Amino acid sequence: MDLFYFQILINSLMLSSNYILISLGLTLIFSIMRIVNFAHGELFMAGGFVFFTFFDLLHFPVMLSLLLSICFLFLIGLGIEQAFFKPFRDDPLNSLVISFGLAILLQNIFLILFGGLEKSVQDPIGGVFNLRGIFIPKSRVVVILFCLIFTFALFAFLKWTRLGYSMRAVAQDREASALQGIRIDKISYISFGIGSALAALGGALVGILFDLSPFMGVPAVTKAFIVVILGGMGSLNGTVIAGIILGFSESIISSFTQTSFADMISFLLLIVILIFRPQGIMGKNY
Amino acid sequence: MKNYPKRSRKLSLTICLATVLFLGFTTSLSYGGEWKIGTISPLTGPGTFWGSTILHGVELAADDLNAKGGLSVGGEKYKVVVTPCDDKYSGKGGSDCANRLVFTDGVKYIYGSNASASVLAYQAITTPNKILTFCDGYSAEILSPEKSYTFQVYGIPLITARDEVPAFLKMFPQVKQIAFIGPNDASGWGTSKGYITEFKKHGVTILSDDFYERTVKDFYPSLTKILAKKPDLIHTSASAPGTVPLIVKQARELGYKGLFLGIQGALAFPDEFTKAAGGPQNANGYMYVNVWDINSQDPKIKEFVGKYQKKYGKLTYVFNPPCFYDAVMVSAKAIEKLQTFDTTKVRDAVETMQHDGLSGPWKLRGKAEFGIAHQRDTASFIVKVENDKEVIVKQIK
Repeated sequence: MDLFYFQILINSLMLSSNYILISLGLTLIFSIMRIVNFAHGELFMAGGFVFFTFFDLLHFPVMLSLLLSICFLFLIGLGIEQAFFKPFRDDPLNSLVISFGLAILLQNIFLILFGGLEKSVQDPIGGVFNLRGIFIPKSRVVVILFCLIFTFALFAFLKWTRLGYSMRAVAQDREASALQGIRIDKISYISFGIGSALAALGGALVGILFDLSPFMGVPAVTKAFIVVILGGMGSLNGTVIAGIILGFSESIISSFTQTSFADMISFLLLIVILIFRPQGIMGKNY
Repeated sequence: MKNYPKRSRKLSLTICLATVLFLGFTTSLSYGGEWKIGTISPLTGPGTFWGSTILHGVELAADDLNAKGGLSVGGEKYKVVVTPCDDKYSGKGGSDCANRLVFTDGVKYIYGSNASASVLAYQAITTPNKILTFCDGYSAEILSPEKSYTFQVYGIPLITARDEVPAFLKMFPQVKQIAFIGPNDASGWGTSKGYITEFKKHGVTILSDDFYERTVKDFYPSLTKILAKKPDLIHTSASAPGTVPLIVKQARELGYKGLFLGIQGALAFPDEFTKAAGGPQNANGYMYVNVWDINSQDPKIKEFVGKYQKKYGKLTYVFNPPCFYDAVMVSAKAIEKLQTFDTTKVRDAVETMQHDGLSGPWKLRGKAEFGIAHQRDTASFIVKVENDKEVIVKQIK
């Protein structure tokens, strides 16, 4: 029976790391640019397919494929910000509409390119750790490690680099930052690029664990929004904590009741937090 | 832009006009008219794979009929023209499609959808307007005497389980405890209900009947719960072809060594299934039901497979192409036999039509269950995945 609870704990950690990976980029973009980017799920999907192209179709080594996917989506993110969001930087409503349109566009591009059937990525690691009856796929251990590494890397970047200071300053107060000589334009597109790169990383890793589909963006961005709102819009710390809460809640509920109740729980948590703490766990009181 | 001499321009225009008139004239000489048939199926969104295979089956039937000169009715030749419509796997999509096909395009024969919600929605339009429809939705509400213009192109699990379960248990008498895991929608509920009823009748214990939302990919929490109860068999219910290998892979990763069983449509391509399931060590032995033998040496099946691959590429193992191909062929046969497109007369003829199709002889059943025998009783095989291929384990009928 103890093994059963340990397995649930491991399952919860795995699910939480997936949610954190999907949500970090979305939080970053919102905190800097104040854009609710509904196309984030499609960027996540695009990252997965770009990785699939490099790794599965072109047979590049796995780390190189991952790096190329991240870089490719970073550049795509720069381009998207300049082409679609720059004209509407101070217009959140139109930015929201743009992001919807972008999501539909990206989804259909990848539907045309890759078809409607799910694509599987060759598992580069394979195998399962069997710790006396507790099963942990090696690929999931790698995903958890990547999640930890990139989360810390992002925090370190924001805390200890000049560009990171600038991004935090813009997130706190755009006008004051501009007065201090920080180039808002540059910060905006770099943030979008980093957010897109993080989405790509999430998409690639989730693609290895499960599969890829042009329609995987919508459920991913739905979960990401729940995590971001739970954690507090714009708060990276909140995103991590909320990802853990959501992952654990869903895993535990699925393990003891109907799996279909897990989705209900995530929305229930959302409603509760919006009623009692609308700014989210770590968000600021607006 | 160059200025061509006036005379050259006049000559070019004259040649173009003459060509168009000639082609139009000769085309009209070939056909007296058109037999417009519509398809309603998901062509975008998550159901695209199923929807496109429905369209392919119908289009291939149209191609074959046109290759023979079209339908011969009343001394005239009628070209078969397919008008597809995307229902987006939704009720609204189904009714929008029916409105367009019936009232704008003048279609009297509709093939599809596989989405029960779409079919149930469009029946409100097609039934009163006497539009003959052939679908493969899983809901038991699709068929009734009040909806007499609808046929199902193969059996729903509620019915087919009665043939499959005894045959399966005869092969695997060691299966005493089963867990079900299926999608949380009408297809999943209907499938689980049908199979659970039959398994229980044969003394099997149902350990769990778990439902998940179709967007779920991580089955570790669900499978941890299921495997703690030690099932002999995990039934994947109405799980989609993209989801089944994930369930298989993750169950094997969690140490499950027992059997798997799925329904028709569980698998699109055995090689892709094997890859998605993490390799042959996980995928081999996965059993499911199919309604046609794609590897058959039957000349008509071989011919169909060849034509499909030539037109669309890789042929899926799911039942949609042959079942909808058969449905169009049976309709055409009835029309030519009766020498009329009248849907009421054709419907009555289809009910008793003799036709040897790709998925067996055209036979209908369902009178006892639905009050009307409009559900096709197809061939049935228990098959399994073996080294990237589908292998027949047992032909049930």
